Amino acid sequence: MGILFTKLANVIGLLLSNREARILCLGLDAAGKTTILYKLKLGETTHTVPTIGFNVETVEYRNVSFTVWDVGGQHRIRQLWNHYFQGSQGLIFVVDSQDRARVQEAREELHSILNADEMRNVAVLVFANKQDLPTAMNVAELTDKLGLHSIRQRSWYIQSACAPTGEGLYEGLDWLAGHLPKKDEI
Amino acid sequence: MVADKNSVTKEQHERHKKILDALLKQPENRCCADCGSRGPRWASVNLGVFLCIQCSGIHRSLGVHISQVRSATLDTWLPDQVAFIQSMGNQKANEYWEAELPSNFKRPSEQDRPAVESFIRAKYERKAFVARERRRSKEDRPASRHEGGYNSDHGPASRPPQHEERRGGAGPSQAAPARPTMAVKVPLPRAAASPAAAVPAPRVATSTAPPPKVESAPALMDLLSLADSPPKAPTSNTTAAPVPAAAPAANAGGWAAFPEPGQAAAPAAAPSAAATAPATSAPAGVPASTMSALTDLFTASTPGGPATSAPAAATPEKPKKNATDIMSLFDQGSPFMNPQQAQLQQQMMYMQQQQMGGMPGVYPGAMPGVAMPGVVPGSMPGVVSGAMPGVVPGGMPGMFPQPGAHASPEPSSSHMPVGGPFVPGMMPGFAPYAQGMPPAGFPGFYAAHQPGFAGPYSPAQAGGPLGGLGGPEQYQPQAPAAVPSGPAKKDAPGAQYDFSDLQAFAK
Repeated sequence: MGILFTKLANVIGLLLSNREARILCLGLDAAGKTTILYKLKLGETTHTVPTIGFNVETVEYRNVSFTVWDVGGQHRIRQLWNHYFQGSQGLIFVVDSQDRARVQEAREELHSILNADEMRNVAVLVFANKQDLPTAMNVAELTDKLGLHSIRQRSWYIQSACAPTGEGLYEGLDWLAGHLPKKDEI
Repeated sequence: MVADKNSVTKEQHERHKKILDALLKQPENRCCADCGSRGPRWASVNLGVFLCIQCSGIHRSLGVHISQVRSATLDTWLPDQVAFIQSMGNQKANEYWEAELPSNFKRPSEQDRPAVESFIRAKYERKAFVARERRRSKEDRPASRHEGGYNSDHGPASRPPQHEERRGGAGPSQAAPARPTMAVKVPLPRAAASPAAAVPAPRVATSTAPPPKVESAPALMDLLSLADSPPKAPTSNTTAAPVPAAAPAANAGGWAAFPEPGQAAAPAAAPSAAATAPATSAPAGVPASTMSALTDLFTASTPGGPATSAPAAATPEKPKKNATDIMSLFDQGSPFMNPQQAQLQQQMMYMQQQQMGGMPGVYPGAMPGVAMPGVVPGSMPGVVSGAMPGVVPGGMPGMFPQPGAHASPEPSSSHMPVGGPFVPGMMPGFAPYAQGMPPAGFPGFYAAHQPGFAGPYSPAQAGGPLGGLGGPEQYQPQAPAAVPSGPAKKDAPGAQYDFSDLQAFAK
C-alpha cells in the first residue's frame, strides 16, 4: 500500500511538474527556423516562405510546454528581435550549416543576442541545420566558427539537425528541457 | 566572407534600395522569373533574378549552393550583389536558364506549388533548359566536373574507359554529367535523331515529354558536326556498349524525376539499368501518374514527342520482359543484339544521320517519316540507341549485355550525385549506384524521403552534439571527437554549384 501511494505521488508530481517555457527561435534568414517550428508542431515538413513578422506555436514535449516564437530573420527586421527577448527562457539559434559565407554573420547575430541583458540567463540551443545538404559544416566546425566557446555564464548546446527529416530536433529539445532557467531567474 | 553587411553604409543602402526599386519597375522584372506572378519582392542574389515570395520559398529550399534568396526590401544587399542583379535581371537570366524551354511550355501556376517546385528544380538545380552548348562546353572543362559533388560522375581518376569514351564521343557523351540533367536529356534527342527512333512508334502514345523538342535542334547540330568530321566518328563508335542502357536510363530517370523526383526516378532508372532494357523500361518505368504530371506542364503534343513518351500499359515491374519484347523487334533469338548486327545497324544509321545532317534546320525528332530500314515501326525509339552512331557494341562486346555496366564508373566517393538521372538511394536493387552514394546527396528530396540519411550527417553525429556550461572549462573535450569531422563525406569547403558560366553570361 505504501509503495502504491509513493508511485501515485510520483505520478501526480510529474503531472504537476508540467512546465511552461518561453522559447525564442532566431537565426539568419533561410536558416530553417520556421521549418523546424512546424516540424516540431505538426510532425511534418512544411513548405515555407520567408517569415515576415513571426510565427508562434506551442509544442508539448517532456512535460514541458514550449511556446516557441519564430521571428523572421531578414537583415532589416533583425532589429525587431529584441522586442521578443523579454521573458524568454531559452534561445534556439538556427544556423544553415551549408552557408559558409554567412557563418560569420550568424556568429555576430548570435553574440549580439546573447549580449542583451534580457537574454543573460537563457539556455542556448544551437541547431546546426541542413545537415543533409552537401558541404554542410559539422557541429565541431560550427562550434568553432560561431565562437560558442566564448559563451560565458550560461548553458549552451549545439545539435546537428535536419528539419525536413526531424533529425536532431527532439534531441535538442531534450537538452533544452533539462536546462531551462527558472522563471525567477529570468 | 567577401564583405560584411555591417560595412554597408546607410547611404549605400539607400542607393541600393533605389537601384533595386528601379530594377523592380522594369517590365522584365515585374513578374516573377519562375512562376510569372506579378510584383516580385524577393530575389536570388547569385542567380540575379527577382522572385515572388512563393518561389523564393522554393529557392531557399534548394540550398545556398544553388540559390541565395534575399528580400529586395527587408535585406541589406552587398554592393556586388546589387551590381550583379543589375547586370542580370529576369530577362537575361531566363535567356540563360530557359534557353531551351519548349515554346509551348506552360508555366506552372503559382498556386500549384509542387509543379512550380519541380520546374524550379529542373531549371536551376538540373539546368534542364540551359542552352546545350553552354552545358556542353562546361563539361569539356575537366574542372567543372568536380563542382561541389554535384556530379553523378566522379571524375577522370575513377572513371573507367567507357565513360571517357562516351564523353569523347559525339552524343551520349553528355551522359557524363557535370549536370545530371544533361545526362538525362541528351541521349534522348539522339535517339530521336537516329532515324529509327524517329519512327513515331504508335504504341507509344500516352504522353508527350519535352526532351525531344528541347533537344532536337542541338542534337542535329551534333549530327552535323559528326558528319563534318568523319575522323571523329570512330571515336564515337568505340563508345561503350553500356550506352544503350545508360542513355535511356538516364533519360527516364531524369525526366521522370522532373515531375516527381522521389517516386519516378527510382522505378524508371532501376529497371533499365538492371535489365539492360535500354529504352523500353525507361519510359515504361515512369508511372503514368508522373507522366501525366509532366504533361500538365507541356500543353501541346510535340511532333517528336513520342520518343520519350511512355507506353501506358508498361510497368516497371516487368523490365525484363520489355527488354525482350523490344529486342525481339530486331528479329533475333537473343534478347541482346549481337555486336556485328549492332554494328551493321549502327553504320546504317550513321549513314542516315549523315544525310540528316545535310538538312540543317530539319527537326530530326519531328521526322517520323525517316524510318530506319530494317527497324520495325513501332519499335521503341530509345531501343535503337543500342545502334546509335557512337555506340558500337562490337567495340566492347563484353560490356553490352551487362546490366548496369555503365554504373561501374560510379565509385564510392565523396561526391554525391544530385538531381541526376541516377538517383542513388532511390533505386532498390541497383547496387552499383547505391553503393557509396549517400542518398542524402540528392537535395531534390531534401532528405525527407531518406531513411538512411547517410550524407554529411550521421546518427552518431546527431547524438554527438557539443555542449557546454559557462565556458570552455566545462566543455567536454571528447565531444568533438565523437563528432566526426567527416572530410571524406564532404567536398571541399568551397565547393559550390558552378555558376561561373552565368557570371560570364551576365557580362
